[in-house]
Amino acid sequence: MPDRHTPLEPPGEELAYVTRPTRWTVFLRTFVPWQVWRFARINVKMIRMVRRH
Amino acid sequence: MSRVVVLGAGISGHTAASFARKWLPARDTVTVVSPNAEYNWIPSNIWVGVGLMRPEQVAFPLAPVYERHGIELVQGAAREIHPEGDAGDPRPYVVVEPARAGSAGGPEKVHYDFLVNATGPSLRFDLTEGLGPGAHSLSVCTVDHAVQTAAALDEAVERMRRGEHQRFLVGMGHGSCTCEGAAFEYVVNLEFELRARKVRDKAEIVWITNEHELGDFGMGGMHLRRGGYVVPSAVFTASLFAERGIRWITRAHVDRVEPGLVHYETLDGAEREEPFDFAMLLPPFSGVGLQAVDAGGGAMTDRLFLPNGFMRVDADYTPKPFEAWEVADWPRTYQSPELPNVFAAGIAFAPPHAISRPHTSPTGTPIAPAPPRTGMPSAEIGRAVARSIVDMIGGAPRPTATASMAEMGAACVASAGANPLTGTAASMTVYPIVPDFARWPDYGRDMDRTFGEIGLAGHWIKILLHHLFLYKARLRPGWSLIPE
Ligand SMILES: Cc1cc2nc3c(=O)[nH]c(=O)nc-3n(C[C@H](O)[C@H](O)[C@H](O)COP(=O)(O)OP(=O)(O)OC[C@H]3O[C@@H](n4cnc5c(N)ncnc54)[C@H](O)[C@@H]3O)c2cc1C
Repeated sequence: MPDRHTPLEPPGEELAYVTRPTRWTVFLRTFVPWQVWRFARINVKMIRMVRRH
Repeated sequence: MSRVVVLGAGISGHTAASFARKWLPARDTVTVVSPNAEYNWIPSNIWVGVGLMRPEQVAFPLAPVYERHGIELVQGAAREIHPEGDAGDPRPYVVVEPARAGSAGGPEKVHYDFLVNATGPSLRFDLTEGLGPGAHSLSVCTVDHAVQTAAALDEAVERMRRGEHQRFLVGMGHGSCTCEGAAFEYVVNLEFELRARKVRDKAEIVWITNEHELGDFGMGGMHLRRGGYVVPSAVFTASLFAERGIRWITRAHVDRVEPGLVHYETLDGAEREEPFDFAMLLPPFSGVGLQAVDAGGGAMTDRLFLPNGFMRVDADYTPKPFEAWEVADWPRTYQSPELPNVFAAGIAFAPPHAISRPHTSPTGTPIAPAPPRTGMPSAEIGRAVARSIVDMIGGAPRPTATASMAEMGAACVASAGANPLTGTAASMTVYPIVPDFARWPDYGRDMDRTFGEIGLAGHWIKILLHHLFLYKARLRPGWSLIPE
């Protein structure tokens, strides 16, 4: 008889071992002034990657 | 006068045809053979599949664009390559079946001097019993699939609004699938959308994958510098899922889908089941099954293609243990070793080996991702192939341009929720795509050029890229200045 959805992770305890972002990190992800700066930085990084090729 | 024929008008074929047309003088012709009348920017199908975009926002008719730019469009599916012509006429040609059933003409011969096979993948739903939109699960591989998936999502949301609980299962429908990145984007967008529609509390979301670890994506994962450590992508992916309450099943080969129930085997050999109300499971890929025929009418398919239907190019296909694989095995020019005037671009070329470590269950089932060939390398390869062909028409004795995935970086933006103020996406660059452990023994990649972060900025970039790449594909003024 096959198991019914047993090997799911994380069913509970495993969650304790997963890295989670701090509230500050989560806040920054959608904090517009910070993201405007990241937008510029990421674009520069990506353009550099494309140019190097 | 030379005749360049490109099979397929996807990301790779359309790029190859556009650049060949731009670089060749008017006396040479460029012909595209495509069963589809439309160009589809496939990455944005994810947003069609969650109901945020309409089909016309991700696709447009090819004929007017090609007409404006002097590219001939033959609407049909290539079936056979005759590289030696036939007894009466040695000119090479392709047999094309008209796209419309009942079309008057019957199969057509399209002659070529140079041929680019950019036919992409065949979606092999048939390899898993009950998989696919024609059976018991959904997909976002084509616009039509994505529309069907969005409708199924609407129904599930309606049920949740009536108070029912729903189980969503998203991921890979077979142990040998590739394209984990696309399914990953779908699952996080789905979660975001369920929150936006205020029914998240009624939904259980499960990710099922053939990856050995989360965040492998068929490229052996990647490492990122963060907080004084070099951290594997598995950590970030698990974190992302845990944050969003998405549970996961790794190392899984889905072997059967019944209405509401998936059967799968895990790498330890156990057979398991997972019930669902909504399952979006991507299929494994193979080549599209082109046949090659010699002048006498005999089959020569196995000289041009591997058994999986992908085309042999200038790669080293010698079977070797995983540890013996080298970056030099990867193709550089994508020229057929048999036929110097035939090339394969994008998903249509046969990779020499997997990038992620292969694994097999005790029952002999391979459970590991196949190597991805995402949009950026597919387009880069298309462009390099066009350059080589143009130069060979001009007299160069061999291909002049290279685009090895072992020497190429990739920039990738994976959407994790689409909203201009609350959405996020993971922006990543990785160099090279195929890890080079001889140059970078620790991680196989240049850590100065490999980075990733998640945030709203990534979503803005994803939106920008959607518009930019569709503008480019429409061959609007300045299109060739936009990078692949
Ligand atoms: C849902 C989804 C989301 C994705 N998201 C991303 C992303 O965010 N970023 C990214 O980089 N990549 C993404 N990808 C991968 C990307 O779409 C592919 O890498 C890319 O489309 C490959 O280009 P291609 O030209 O090789 O194949 P395709 O784009 O599939 O094009 C192949 C073309 O050949 C045509 N064809 C098939 N058979 C024949 C025949 N017999 N004769 C003539 N023509 C034929 C097909 O109709 C098709 O138009 C995603 C893929 C999917 C499925």
